Amino acid sequence: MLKLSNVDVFYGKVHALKSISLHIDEGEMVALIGANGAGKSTTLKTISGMLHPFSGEITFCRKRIDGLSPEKIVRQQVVHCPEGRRVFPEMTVKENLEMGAFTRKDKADTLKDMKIVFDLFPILEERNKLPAGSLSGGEQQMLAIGRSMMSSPRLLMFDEPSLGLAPILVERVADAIKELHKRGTTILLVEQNAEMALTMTNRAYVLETGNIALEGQSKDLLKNEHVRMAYLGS
Amino acid sequence: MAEFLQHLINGLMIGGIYALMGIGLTLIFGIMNIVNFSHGEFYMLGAFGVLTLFTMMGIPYLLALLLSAVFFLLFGAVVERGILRPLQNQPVDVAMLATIGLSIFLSNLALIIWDPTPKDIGMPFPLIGINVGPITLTPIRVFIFVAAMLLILGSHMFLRNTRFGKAIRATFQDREAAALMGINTNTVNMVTFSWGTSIAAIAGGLLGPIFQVFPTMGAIVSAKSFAVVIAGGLGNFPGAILAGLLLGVAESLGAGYISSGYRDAIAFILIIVVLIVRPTGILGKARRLG
Repeated sequence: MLKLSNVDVFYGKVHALKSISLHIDEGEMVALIGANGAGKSTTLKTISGMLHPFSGEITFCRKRIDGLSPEKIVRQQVVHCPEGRRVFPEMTVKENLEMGAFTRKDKADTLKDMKIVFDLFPILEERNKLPAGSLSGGEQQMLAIGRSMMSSPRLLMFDEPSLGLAPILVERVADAIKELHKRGTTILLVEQNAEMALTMTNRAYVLETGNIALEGQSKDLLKNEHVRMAYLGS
Repeated sequence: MAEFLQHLINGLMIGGIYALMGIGLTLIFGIMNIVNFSHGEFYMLGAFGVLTLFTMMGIPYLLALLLSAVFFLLFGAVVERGILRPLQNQPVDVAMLATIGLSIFLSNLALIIWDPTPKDIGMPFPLIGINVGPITLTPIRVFIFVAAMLLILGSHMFLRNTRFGKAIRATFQDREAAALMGINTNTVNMVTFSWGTSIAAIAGGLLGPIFQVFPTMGAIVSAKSFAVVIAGGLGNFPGAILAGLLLGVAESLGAGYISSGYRDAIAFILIIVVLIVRPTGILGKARRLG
């Protein structure tokens, strides 16, 4: 479904991604783990069009998407839920969700999706008239996830959804992501919390200083000595 | 008391125009991070637009105002697309310098087209006084105030309730996240700038009949618009409305009770006071958290 082939990305003069290749098949849930600064967020930003590769190609459903602007990529239903929640603080919860559906014309389906979001996160329905900035960190993360769901994603990419959340909320967020996957959305999960990411997913890539250092089944990576030493702290 | 009320009413009328100038400037700053130094020249051109269409060509005033508004909508879009967008990845002062250059260009262009002598647009409404209790209103002043308020209200409703208006607010609050929602932030820039340009031109066309029209009239209006935007809090829409009305009233009362020679100084006294007492603006709070 999504395929990156030999993608090079520069951040100014920094060679942030060094000829990386990865692929995600329809219906998969894939993790991308790595340390701070390894290039995880850069990878997502490149897929979603916020950054453009210097060389290499990215295809989605066999169509080239590298070089397209973010708003065109969202229209291909490739959706990026950014790091740090990034909700619109002075807009209401409901308006945030409406913004998620900005590219959609199908009013009835959009309303149906909003109902699904509210079913999954009842707290958002309760607070739908409050400004997003007044929500707690965990609620804002749920809103960010809900907002991405409103874009009707076929591929949904999460950047550090567990960042800065209390353990109990991390679990809620993980459950929500699993639920989305169960409902048929293909998922690419970027996490520093390697244990969470590897236990949730079937397959994973390990990114180290802009290179794919390892890839494989998540359950194998959980047992891999290098992964254990570097990312699981044991 | 009657005199005070009269100054207050006059102040609110001018204040409505300042508010109109202020909301355009503050939104352009908030969305595009551009300090637009040609805002006063758009005001000046709007006044000349009405002078040309109404006074010289004899088109009815309201229609002249409307035509000029539409023209400057397009004009603003061209400026955004042609001058500002190519500079958007440059440091912010580059775009700022470009708007200073544009303002010099536009006032000199006006000098060539309309020559430097101040001109009268002429009165589009009957020059009669309507007595309401102790104060006297003239139709043009009532019209200016009502038009300014309707435009502010209309802009507010547009931002609050329409799909595109919400996209503008989203872009204002988090540009990258807005792009990830599928909002074309370049289009948002263009619409914002073009709307701000047109609204400044309308302000010029509204106030034109009361004052004289000349090519350098934009400079002081630019300066006052900045005062309004800073006093209201940079990028703060309701703050700009309040600061605009406040400045108008302060000027009118200051001119009435202290000395009319100080009228234009009041804007700057207002900025100084606000910057000392409330550096984030009258309705200020830290913007763009996170």
